[in-house]
Amino acid sequence: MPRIMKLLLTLLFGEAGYLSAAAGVLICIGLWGVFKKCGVKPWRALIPCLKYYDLALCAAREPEGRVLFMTSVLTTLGSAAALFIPESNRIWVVVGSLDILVYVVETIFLIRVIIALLEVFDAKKRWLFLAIPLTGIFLVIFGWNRRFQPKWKVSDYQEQAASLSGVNARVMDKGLTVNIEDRSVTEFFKKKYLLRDIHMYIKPGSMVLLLGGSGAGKTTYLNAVNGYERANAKIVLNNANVYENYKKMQYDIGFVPQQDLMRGADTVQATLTDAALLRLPIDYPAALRKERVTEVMRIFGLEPVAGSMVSKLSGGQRKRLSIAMEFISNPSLFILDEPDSGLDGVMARELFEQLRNIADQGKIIIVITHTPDRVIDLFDDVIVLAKDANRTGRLAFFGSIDDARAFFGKQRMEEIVMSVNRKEEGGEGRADEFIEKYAEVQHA
Amino acid sequence: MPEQIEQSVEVNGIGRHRGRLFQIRIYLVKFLRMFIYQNDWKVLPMAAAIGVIVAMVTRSNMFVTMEGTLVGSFAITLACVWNGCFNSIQVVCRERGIVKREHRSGMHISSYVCAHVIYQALLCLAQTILLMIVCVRAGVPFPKEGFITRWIYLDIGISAFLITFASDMMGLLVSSFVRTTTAAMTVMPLLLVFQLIFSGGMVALPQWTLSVSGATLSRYGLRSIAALADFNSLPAVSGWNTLSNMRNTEIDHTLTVDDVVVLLQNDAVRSQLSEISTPDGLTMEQVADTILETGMLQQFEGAEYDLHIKLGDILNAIGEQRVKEYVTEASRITSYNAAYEHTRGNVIRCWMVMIAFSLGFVILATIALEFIDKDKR
Repeated sequence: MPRIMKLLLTLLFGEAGYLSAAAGVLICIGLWGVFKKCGVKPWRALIPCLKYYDLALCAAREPEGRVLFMTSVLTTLGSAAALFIPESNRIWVVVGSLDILVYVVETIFLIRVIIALLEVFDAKKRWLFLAIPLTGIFLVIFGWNRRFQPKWKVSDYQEQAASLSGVNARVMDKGLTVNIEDRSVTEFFKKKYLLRDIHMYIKPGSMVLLLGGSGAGKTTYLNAVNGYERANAKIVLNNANVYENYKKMQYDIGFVPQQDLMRGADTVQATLTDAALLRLPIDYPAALRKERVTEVMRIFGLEPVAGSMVSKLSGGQRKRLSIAMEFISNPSLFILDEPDSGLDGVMARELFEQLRNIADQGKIIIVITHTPDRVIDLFDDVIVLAKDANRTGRLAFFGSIDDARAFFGKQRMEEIVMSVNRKEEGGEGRADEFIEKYAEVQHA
Repeated sequence: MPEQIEQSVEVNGIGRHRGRLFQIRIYLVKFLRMFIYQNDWKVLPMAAAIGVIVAMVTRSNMFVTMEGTLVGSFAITLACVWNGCFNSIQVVCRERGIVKREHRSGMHISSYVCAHVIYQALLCLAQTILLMIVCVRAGVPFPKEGFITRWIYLDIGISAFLITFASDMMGLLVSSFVRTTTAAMTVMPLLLVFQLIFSGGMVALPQWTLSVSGATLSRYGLRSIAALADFNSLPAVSGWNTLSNMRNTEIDHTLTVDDVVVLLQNDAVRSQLSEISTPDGLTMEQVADTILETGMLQQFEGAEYDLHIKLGDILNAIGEQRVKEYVTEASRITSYNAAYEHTRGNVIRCWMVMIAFSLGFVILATIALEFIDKDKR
């Protein structure tokens, strides 16, 4: 076979042999049918390498699709390069070895995608035994046999999402003003919006509940507010722009992560002392610093365990220590990501009461919790984030607890979350309806 | 509870916070405290145990023969690479979430890495001292005099420390790159095999891999120890040992007169014969010429003689000591390796390369950790 012919076959089907070309043609025919059924443009089955990314989209496995695309490009380039390198050359050995390595990765990810595809087509897992050695035949069967139909289509995602409100919150001298236009990431050459159109003003002394289903952008929102992951936004805390003064403001914003991220092999006292050294200003007198550590330990009930190792603390104590580490610098804005995870009702209540006390000093507390109803009386306001039709986190509501109940027509906060969650997540799928409704309220 | 909080001091005044140098102190003290409380101290007895194994391998022939020195240098290098890698391969990735949180609270990554570097250097120093003590007590025959410093223990110790430290920094780099301890422990064997194979100590490397070998710190570690041990001046005994072990091997050969004639006409043989004299003052070469010229052997043309002789008998006939000296010297010349040249410049160059490796790893680790905020949640 002439070398140019070999190169063409390699670029089209990954390898130069007649048999591989035949298998490649079968894969294309099969993919054409699968893409048609799944709502992907069928002609994309003819694009080398990218067709595997689209196959992963059909299987709702986009991240695997990216790996498949990359490995497919690498193996194709490797095979093409091997055509021009004599076998006696050691580079051929290196290219060949790397090609095998990439091929192994490609096969593993293809297996993942096929397993997911079988779920989409509601087919039995035993099809995998055909799909791995004879991918082309498998795809032809699933692509062209009417018996096999996907449960949903890729085009289901292309819904029209709720429109943007475009109403900015007014910046006040005291308190927190959030005006997030959008927060996006670029993934695999595509811009993906994580958050859009979130505007609010939170007054000092408020304890705010942040609600939203999985993937609604709660943590992204918190990170955007505290400046850790910047958005296209203007965040103003007590008349200071958080993004422009981040280096200074980071000490005035306490963020308590969901996990208890502390070193277990250190004592409570030493952990808090180190936190004080890091977070308090350099000119803060040493004697006052020691007093502050003692005071914070007393506030959070950690005095009896001051000399204990962190790893020996109970779940509640650990959580309180994690909060105390941030509280040591007495921040104006205090953000807590699920501080009650792993705590029983009594301990959670006690913890939230402590947070209420902190808020009553004029601080702003924003809390994510998945069990809000047991402590809802302690909150002033609620933020409800929801995924719109484009899977972007949007503001579905911000206001008092009572207003939220009236707005959603639900009594319990957990019911509110269910109403905005998507149907495939077991919710009512009314996110866009409430996003639109809230935008109207803002305009009014 | 509210009353208690009311008393809290207003401390969130936005002022200057502690800089990099002070933060190094905070973290160094923290790491030293955790050395006691956590299981990090266990690397010290492990280093001693590894030292015992190394000493068992090296104690008889290290610094005595070329082969023993090469094996010993390789074993010490490998032990140091293992110790160093194991010290730090998990230190960052096991607390990656904590580092991310603290970075967000104002911790400087460079301070954190610097504190680790100092702490790990202390750990490596302690391990090196333990390794040296074990080797000395196990009777490894160190030379009497130092080469770079006055004490050879210090010379070898510096090499061992630098190998351990550079490997430690390599482990720190891996730990800073990967996100889980499982990933770190998956990479570690790959690193060790790479260092082991490409050090060039035990496996003869093809020419084209030499550039890859140049990227291994074990290669420079091995070189520095072998150079300090004056590898090239030591006797090479493997050739003679092999020959000596074959002493009872029988040589069966059928010799014809033609073979003898060819042998006597061989230039190399004649040159050897010219050095042997008979009691009459003639050289053996002259005797051979006489035999060939007079045609004495022609009357035995076609005759065959079966030889059954042991190698040991030949050695005895030629003179065992003479052969031993010859083979040992020839092996030494063959085993000569310019990379192990016993010069100050060579040793110091190897040390500098290892320091450069360490610095490179530290810089890369810092850069890698600077991107910790990009970690997916």
